[in-house]
Amino acid sequence: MVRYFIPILKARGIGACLVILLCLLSMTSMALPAEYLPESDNEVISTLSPTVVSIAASVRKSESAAPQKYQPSSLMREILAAYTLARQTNDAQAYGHTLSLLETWPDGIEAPPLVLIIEAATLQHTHDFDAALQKLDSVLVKNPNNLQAYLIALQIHLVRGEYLEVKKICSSLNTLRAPILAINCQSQLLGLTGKGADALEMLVSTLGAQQLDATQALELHTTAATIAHRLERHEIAAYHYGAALSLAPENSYLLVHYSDWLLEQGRYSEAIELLHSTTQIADNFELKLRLYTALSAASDTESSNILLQEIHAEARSMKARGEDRPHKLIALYELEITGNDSAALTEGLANWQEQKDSSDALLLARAAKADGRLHSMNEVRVWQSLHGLEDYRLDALIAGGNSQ
Amino acid sequence: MIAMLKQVLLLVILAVSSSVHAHSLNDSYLQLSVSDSQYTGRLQIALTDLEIAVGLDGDDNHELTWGELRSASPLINSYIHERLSLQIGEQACESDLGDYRLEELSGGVYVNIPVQGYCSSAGDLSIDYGMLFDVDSSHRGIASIDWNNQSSSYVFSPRKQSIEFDSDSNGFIVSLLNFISEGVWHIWIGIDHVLFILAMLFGVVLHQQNLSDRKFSWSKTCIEVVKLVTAFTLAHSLTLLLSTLGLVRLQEQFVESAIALSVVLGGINILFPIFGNQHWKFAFLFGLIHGFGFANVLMDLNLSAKQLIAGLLGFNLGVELGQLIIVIIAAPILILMCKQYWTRRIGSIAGGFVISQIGLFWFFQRGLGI
Repeated sequence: MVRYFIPILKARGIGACLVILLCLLSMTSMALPAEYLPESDNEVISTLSPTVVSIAASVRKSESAAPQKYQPSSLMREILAAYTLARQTNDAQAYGHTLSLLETWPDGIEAPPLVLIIEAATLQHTHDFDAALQKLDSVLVKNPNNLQAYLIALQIHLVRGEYLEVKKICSSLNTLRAPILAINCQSQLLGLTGKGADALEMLVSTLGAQQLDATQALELHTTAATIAHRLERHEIAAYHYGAALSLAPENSYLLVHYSDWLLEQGRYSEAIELLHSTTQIADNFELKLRLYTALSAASDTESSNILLQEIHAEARSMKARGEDRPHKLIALYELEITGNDSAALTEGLANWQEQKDSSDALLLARAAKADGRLHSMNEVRVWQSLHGLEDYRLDALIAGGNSQ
Repeated sequence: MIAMLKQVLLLVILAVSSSVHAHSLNDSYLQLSVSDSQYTGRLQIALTDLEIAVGLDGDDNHELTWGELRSASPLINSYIHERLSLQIGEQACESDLGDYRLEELSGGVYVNIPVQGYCSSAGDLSIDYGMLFDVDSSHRGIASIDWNNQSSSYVFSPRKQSIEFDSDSNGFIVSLLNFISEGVWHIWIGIDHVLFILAMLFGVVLHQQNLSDRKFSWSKTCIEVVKLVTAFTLAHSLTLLLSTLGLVRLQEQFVESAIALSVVLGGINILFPIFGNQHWKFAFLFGLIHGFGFANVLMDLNLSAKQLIAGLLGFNLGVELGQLIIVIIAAPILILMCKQYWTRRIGSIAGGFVISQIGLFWFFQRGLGI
């Protein structure tokens, strides 16, 4: 029976292939647009975002007030305004503008702690961790009780997996009589070093017992949510993610982690709703990747394909940055979109050199497993053994690696 | 001051770890081709960057019109002349900026500005790029420079605002070798391309074995294999060239799906010889599709047209070399396997089934987003 069909398949096979090719080539009419010329002077070619409008206004103001620009007090106000905009929008360009203002600080005048703190926070955000820590050290030498310096340093050391330094900072926060911050610090450390259950207990107890302002509550709920998530305590994670997001619905860190949780739970429609409801989706590559995953899982082919083109284009732009490229994002892109596991692992390893957050360990493990490189999985395994990181997803990946 | 400190404390407390790179980057792109005393190229800069750098929004309504951009062109051109310069030897080169065009890229709408100029002296080439850095330290200028047969990509940043090229160096060989290694690397990591080649190879060997029955011909089989690989390479070179020069562009999803489909058909051919003795023709046909897939690799390097031709030569040599290595390893194994009835039978059923299923999985994953 098979032999009967072979001639038909041959003929139809040839025909089918030609048809496919002709269809594909005819799609040149659907060729992606390149350069174009607007038809009239009145044609609107771009709408400026509020962030760009603010930055441009700041630059114009600086240009018109040039002689006064270098007076420390007015420059400090500009720097603070720029940093405030950057934190509110999480916009790379806003951070870049802040840094450019910081670089105009006059050489002969010692920068006050506020300026150094903002500079460290901006450098931390652009992942220039060593430079940020240098600024913080210079603040703490003269101001050993500077709370802000400790908090920024805490974030850096947590991201880099430098837990001894984290422990010292937690102790300093206690000494500085910032109990809520100290509890949060201690909880984060416990959550990453094998004592997640203790950390959760401490956080839940503090949230229940103390009068907290919104900022303190947000911090504690965020820490509790991510620890519970890693410990596979889903009900607790869901509760704290919800509580944290009600306080800060546009917080990109929360959105990334909560959308991960929703995807892991198979709650795709909720993930789509969450990501569609936030303004962060427009400019946040990590969130776009998660939205794509959710849309694909929910079989929304049209939306996912449109988003995919955006993702591909952004990834190309990121890769063009060469050594400056964001390794973590490209690793995620290669792993989740292109399926180029080898490239994902290369980028994952490069990212691991820079930062060792729990999500970085998970990314490296995923890439190592996908690419079948056991020695890279060993690197994560050793890290986990050394520090006691508890994460059920990581455990599953490492266990899967062990069985190979 | 206390209010400022409190404000910073509030912002710092909320400084949980998040990557600034999660946000879209507005970089500029510079392509320059310098030969003898002349240079041509293109500068692409985001409209939003120009708004920040020089101010375009004349009526302050937060909407930029084509008329506002054109009105600001003297200011823009002056800004570019101040911040972008070429020098050969001791003399700065003159430069002219052409008419603006617009293009939609991932970071938004960009202005494409043709750049050309003349340099009156000889010597080493240096390029200075200082755009946007004084107002946005996150800005980067992604440059693709072709000079003296030397092609290179470079990223300008606040800390690296100049590059220099040695006039004595002939980087053509180095550049060619780099592209050859890129080609070898990308065919090896391109599992879909490798699977397709293996499937077609298997099909050719099976067909030759079936034709010859007991008297297998090594020479005929080798000829068919060479024809297959060469046809595939010629085809993907053609579409790679057309695509990366921007003459023909296809949506990435269609290309990836079609490549997956070629793998499916290659796998089916192992099970049921639908290609007959026309393997090299099908390899050519499918090679046309695979070429579009390779084009994305060269697009990532953001090369100029002249670099692209040089890159294409090297890249294709590399792909061919990579393919040949695969063929040299795989072909003898397949031939030996096919010489025995049972190994041929089991191998073809298993191989054809596995390859076609993998191709089918990719097809649904890429084409239908499943």
